[in-house]
Amino acid sequence: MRLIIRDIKKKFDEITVLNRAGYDFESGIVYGIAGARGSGRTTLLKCICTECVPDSGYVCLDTGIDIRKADYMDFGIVYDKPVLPEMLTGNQYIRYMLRLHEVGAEDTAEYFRLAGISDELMDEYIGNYSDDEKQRLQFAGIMITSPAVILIDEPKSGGRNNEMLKALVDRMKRTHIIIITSDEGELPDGLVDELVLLKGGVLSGSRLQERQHA
Amino acid sequence: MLKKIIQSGYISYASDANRVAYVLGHFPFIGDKINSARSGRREQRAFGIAGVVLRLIWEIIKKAAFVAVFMILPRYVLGRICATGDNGFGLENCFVYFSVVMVCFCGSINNSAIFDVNEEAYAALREAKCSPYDYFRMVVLRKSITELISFWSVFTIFGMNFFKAFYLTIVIIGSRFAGEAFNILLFRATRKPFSAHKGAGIVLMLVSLFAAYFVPYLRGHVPGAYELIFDTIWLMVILTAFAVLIYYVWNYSGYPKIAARIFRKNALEDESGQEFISEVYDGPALSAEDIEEYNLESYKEINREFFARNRSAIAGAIEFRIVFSAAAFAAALIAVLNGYNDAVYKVISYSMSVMVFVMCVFSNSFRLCKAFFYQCDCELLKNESYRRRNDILENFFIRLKYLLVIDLIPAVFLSAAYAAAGMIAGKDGSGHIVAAVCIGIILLSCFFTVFQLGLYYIIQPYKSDIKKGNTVYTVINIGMYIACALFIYIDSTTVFFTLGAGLALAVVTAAAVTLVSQLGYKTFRLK
Repeated sequence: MRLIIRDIKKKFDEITVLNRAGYDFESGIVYGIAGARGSGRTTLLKCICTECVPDSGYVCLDTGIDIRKADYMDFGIVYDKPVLPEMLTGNQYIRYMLRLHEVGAEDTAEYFRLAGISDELMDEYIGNYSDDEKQRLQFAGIMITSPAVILIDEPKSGGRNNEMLKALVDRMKRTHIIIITSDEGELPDGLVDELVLLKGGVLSGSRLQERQHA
Repeated sequence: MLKKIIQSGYISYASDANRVAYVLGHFPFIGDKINSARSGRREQRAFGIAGVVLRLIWEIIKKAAFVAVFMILPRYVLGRICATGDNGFGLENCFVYFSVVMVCFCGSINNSAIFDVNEEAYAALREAKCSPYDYFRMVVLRKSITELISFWSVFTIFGMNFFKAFYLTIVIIGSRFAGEAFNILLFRATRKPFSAHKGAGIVLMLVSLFAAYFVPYLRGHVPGAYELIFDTIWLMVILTAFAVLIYYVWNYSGYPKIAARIFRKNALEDESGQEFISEVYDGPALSAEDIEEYNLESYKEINREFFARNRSAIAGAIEFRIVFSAAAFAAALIAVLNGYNDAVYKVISYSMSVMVFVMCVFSNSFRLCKAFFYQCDCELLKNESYRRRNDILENFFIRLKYLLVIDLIPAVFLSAAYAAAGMIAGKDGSGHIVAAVCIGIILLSCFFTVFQLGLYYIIQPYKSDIKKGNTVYTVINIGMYIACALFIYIDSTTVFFTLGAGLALAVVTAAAVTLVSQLGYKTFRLK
């Protein structure tokens, strides 16, 4: 599966944030998009997942059977500040998604475990979760909805978070396209296979193994 | 299919149920028991039913307030100021006519349920990945059932015949589908719903207000919508048209496009703040690291930068208010040209009580304070120097000057419109009344500016991760709107009202300055 991005241009007033950015992302590889603060990472992410309409360019999905325009349903996004139903408990939310998507067993505890959320939070209101816990809940939701492309915006780095993220990424990378965005130099170690730099509104990348051998 | 549609409403249903459990969980004696039992299936079902009932009761209260303010109150006022008195404004006639104009026409076009962007819709469509077909059908169905119960109840409670109230409610429900169909067609043509076309919304509102209240005033009675609606032939035509529109809305194939285009994270900013919260930058405009030294000069520079950055949005907001003032003058001019000089003078002399509410709505300060936080203060408050007692007061005064100018510009235009209307009405000896209204408008504008800015510093209701104020702040603002609306019932002279406005301004200014200087360093901080 391939996510094809071509000629994405985005301007706000007089400021050109993205200047004909383009890249191909494939499943089986974990991509990290890095850039300085204000380089347009979040804008790029939003243009990719249809949250923001670019001034020009397109985003397509090559599923192996056909090539079609990417739709918002193809993306699962983990934001640094997630928007989730605050007055639902985590348990209610996961159970609801399992029923909605008719995923066999309703073992919500299993999803909490995979996402690294403590059992004590299952019956706690999502509004009382920290941003980190909400992100994990989003991961759990993504495991249920299984979208083609998973976008992770500025994951929280550090110890347990890295382990959880790595476990999730390893579980899903074979059949999904995974893209992580972060500040330059702040991508979690050992997580990303290919580093893509966003600079001057343009994307350029290299395999990390190639850079190490260069 | 019905099961999926109902499933799409689970987030709203469960949220209401949990709210009931949350509130009951804080009651003495039963609170602990509620908290320990709230996860049980039977308990959740009970809370769910309670949530549905309370939601319906809340809808009935809202509709009752709407009918009171937009139907019963105008009926009362028109009956007083028209030569025909109450004869031209029978209760059922008024309900039908005002409903047709304000609810079926204006409300249905302006308040689309399908295009209502909120967190619940975002979570359902974008996070949980509900089918857009099921979700939007659920939203329309839920609104129809809720309005059927609420409008029917309210009309009946306020004295309308039970069966006529039911039929009028059916007409309203049908018109909602007409409004949804209109918004869908507009979206197909322009990629935006009606509410996103700001100028069109203003025009629609002005036309509706004119048709609803000014036309009956000129004619001395409400036009004959009653006979039209309750005529057998028209009944068949209306119901047939509604059936076609309901079929169209129910079976529309473009709901995924609506979900993709309209329901985005950026669109969740509440509308009042959206125009001032730029989506240009990934984060706030100013960072704590950007400022070398926190002093008077840097505060002046920060605020200069802020207002320059938001110049076009502020100008847009002012322009809208100036257009409103021009429309008010135009209405007065039309009335004078048709020989209603006395009526224009009467409206001017009675208008101070209404001006309290108008100037409350006119003020831009609420939205600008929100933008202060999300563009500047959420970063700057991380630095201790920004939170020093004197620095807070300095910044308060700098911002107060800017906000006074921004709010006074449209206030001056509105005063000028009133002064011009007073002159063309040409009533002898009315100069002091017109002058009192004009001065009153200016004083009220200043009052709301000082009030909002002071409240922002004293409460500081915002958090950087949620684009909404805290509950206390929301309650105070809602209370203020209601209190301002209730001024309509105060029967007093214009001069007295203006003096009262002056006194209120003096008191709120003294209170704001005192509280900000004494408490601001404690209250104005990051939460």
